[in-house]
Amino acid sequence: MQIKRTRLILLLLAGIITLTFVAAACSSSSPPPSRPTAQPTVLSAADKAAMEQKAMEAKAMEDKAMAEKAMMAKLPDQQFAAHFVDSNPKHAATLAQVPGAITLNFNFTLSDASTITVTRDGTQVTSGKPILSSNKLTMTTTVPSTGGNGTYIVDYKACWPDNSCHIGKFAFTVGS
Amino acid sequence: MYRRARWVSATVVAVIALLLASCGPDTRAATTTPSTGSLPAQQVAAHYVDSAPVHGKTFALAPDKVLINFDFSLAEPSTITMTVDGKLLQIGAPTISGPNSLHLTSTLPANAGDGLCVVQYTACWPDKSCHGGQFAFAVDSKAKSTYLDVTGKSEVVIEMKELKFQPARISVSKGTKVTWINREAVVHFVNTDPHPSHNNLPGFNSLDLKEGQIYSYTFNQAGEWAYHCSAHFPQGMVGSVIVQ
Repeated sequence: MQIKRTRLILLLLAGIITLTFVAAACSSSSPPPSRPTAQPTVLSAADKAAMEQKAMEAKAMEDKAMAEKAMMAKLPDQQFAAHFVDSNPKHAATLAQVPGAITLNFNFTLSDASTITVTRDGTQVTSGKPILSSNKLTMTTTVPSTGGNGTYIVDYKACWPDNSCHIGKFAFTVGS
Repeated sequence: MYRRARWVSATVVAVIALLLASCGPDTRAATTTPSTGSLPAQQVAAHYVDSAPVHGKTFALAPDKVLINFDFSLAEPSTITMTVDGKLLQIGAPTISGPNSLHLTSTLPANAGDGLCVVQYTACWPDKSCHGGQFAFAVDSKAKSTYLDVTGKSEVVIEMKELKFQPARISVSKGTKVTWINREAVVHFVNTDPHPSHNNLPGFNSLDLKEGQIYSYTFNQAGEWAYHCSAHFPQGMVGSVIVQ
């Protein structure tokens, strides 16, 4: 009986240890930040005011960085259709106002089946057949000037002479 | 009491196994054992666009490289492995290239030989997640006898008519200038494989060719260069040039 109980305890212990190792391997654990040790100091009123000013400025900068980070986080990753060369606006650009047109350049002949769809913050702004250049290497769509500030996502379908198509995506922001 | 302990232990072991299985990248496709003797099915990873060699094609000459195109930026540790008739082939380390890191390439040895070639790849993304895929092609040096031998000529003409390249398969010498001429009232193209990336032999690409228009390319790189008409690829308008 005593031996059985010992084996039971050993088995459970082995299980717990292994689980601990697995959990450690699967999670990217980082050590907790060390707490700064408090230093007793005596500050003059001017020093205190300067420190408060600095703290406010640092907080404002931090808020701005977080807002920018949040804006960038909203942008999807760029996806490239075959033969994509570049676009105007470029992926991740920040514009002061709504661009009149969105242009995509390719290095192979596009077919009429190609499409561009533009959404701003999830609402469709424009969709459908773009205008193809005479050499069929560029497709352009217009964007209404009333589009407003926000995150614009451009989903396009580049189609080839055999009418096979490949999708791509990029995004830009309007406004700060 | 002892039975319960065994049951608890077994449960703990099962949970550990599940946890271990869920760790790390998805390499299921990359570890799939290909069946030899018949062409295995193509497995397509996320963001895969196309590849050279094209899945399912047969070549008279072993290709000089494997090229896989994606529509999303690749990252380390993307991998390529290749077997010939089930035996692992030593190939070059995979490289990620292109302006947006969309191409994954490995060079192949010149002595790869004939056989059924199965390429397995793992495409990894900037967030370090990975997806596996697979495609296959065959090398049969005996097929070379079916290519029109025009070696020794400095210039060769291929006509495009009846939705075909005529002749479709030729052998030329290094430095030969090949000219394609469109002989019918539909637009044709001359584009290096694969479709639609057209980047196995960069520069070997025409835009649309109307009736009577020509396109020329001088082959200076030895190997077998498969090509196609991008408008009539689905109808089987394909060709191949062996350069020696």
